[in-house]
Amino acid sequence: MTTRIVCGVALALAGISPAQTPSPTGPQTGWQLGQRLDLTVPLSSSTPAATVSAPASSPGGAIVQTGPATSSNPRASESTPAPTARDRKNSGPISYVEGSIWTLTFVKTKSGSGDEYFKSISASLKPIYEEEKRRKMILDYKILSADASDDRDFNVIIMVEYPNMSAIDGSRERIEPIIDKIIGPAQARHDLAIRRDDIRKILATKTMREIWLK
Amino acid sequence: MKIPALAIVALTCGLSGVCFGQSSPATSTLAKGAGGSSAPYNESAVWVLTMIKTKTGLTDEYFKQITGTVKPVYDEAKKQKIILDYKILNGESSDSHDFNILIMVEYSNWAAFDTLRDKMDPLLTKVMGSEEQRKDMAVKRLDVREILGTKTMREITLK
Repeated sequence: MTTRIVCGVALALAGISPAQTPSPTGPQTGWQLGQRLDLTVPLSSSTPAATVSAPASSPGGAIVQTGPATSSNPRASESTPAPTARDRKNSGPISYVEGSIWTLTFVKTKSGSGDEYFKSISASLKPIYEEEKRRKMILDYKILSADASDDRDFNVIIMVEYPNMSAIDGSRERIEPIIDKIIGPAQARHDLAIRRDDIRKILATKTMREIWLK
Repeated sequence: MKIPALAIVALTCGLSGVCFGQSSPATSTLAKGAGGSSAPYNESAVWVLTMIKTKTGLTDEYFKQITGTVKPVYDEAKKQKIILDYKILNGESSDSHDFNILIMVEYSNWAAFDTLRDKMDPLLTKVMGSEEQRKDMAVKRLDVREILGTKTMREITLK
């Protein structure tokens, strides 16, 4: 039961599924951008992807950088900026160079609750991401804000940058101690998730690879 | 005379939803903390997102196409400080309504969109050729991808 609550809270913290594998067979929401344009298509579901796979077997609570040694992402180490990465050529047949991984969470805040939502995540998501960034578990994160065109459109995107796919493996075991420290035990996280449900809806999540054209 | 106009519009979309029609970026990247605002965040750059779905099996072809068009245009725009940066994200679409590519172009602020076209048109001509050539390119690209939507969003920094 406790585990399920923890899972729920982790997802509620902006739709990140910490231990999810970036598999194409992963859970999908019924929301797609195309549907917004076709008003005759009913929205099948707007619930966030709520399935979290079992965490990988990294040591509990240990902060371990899981990036592979052969990462093509020159930003994997924050200390080494990559001014020429986009222009990098390689001999492979692919027309691009693989960059970092971005997890995108598409959020719709309820009318008039935008500021409340941002205040809420300022005290929860922000310190968590800052801590993860400090520990080099993530490279960066961005929050974009706009207007939603209708009730099926998002008005916030939360983007979290990982150095590579392997950084997602077992990330839950590294993230949970941070969440525990910043938000509190399972019950506190559960309560926060319930409260946040009143002010926003997660429309979808998507994991994408940044690429640099050769 | 309507065809060239339509071609320009198509090309504009083809270049991933950049809203030509204006220019003049302001110099500041981060407009920190507007005085008196009670917003729980600071305003930052403005991003134009274009959500693209490539046709099955044509993703590499699409990337090859934009390598010769979008990339040099954005690189030059970046060099001229018309845009701050751009990103291309590649993923998978779950069905025919879902995008698999996201192109993000970063502008310093909303003012950067004023008279943007005045700045971009010469650049397009230089990199991609005449209006007629650009129209041909836009038509060709219709065969490999569909633009599902565009959205302009403000990056924010939580206080």
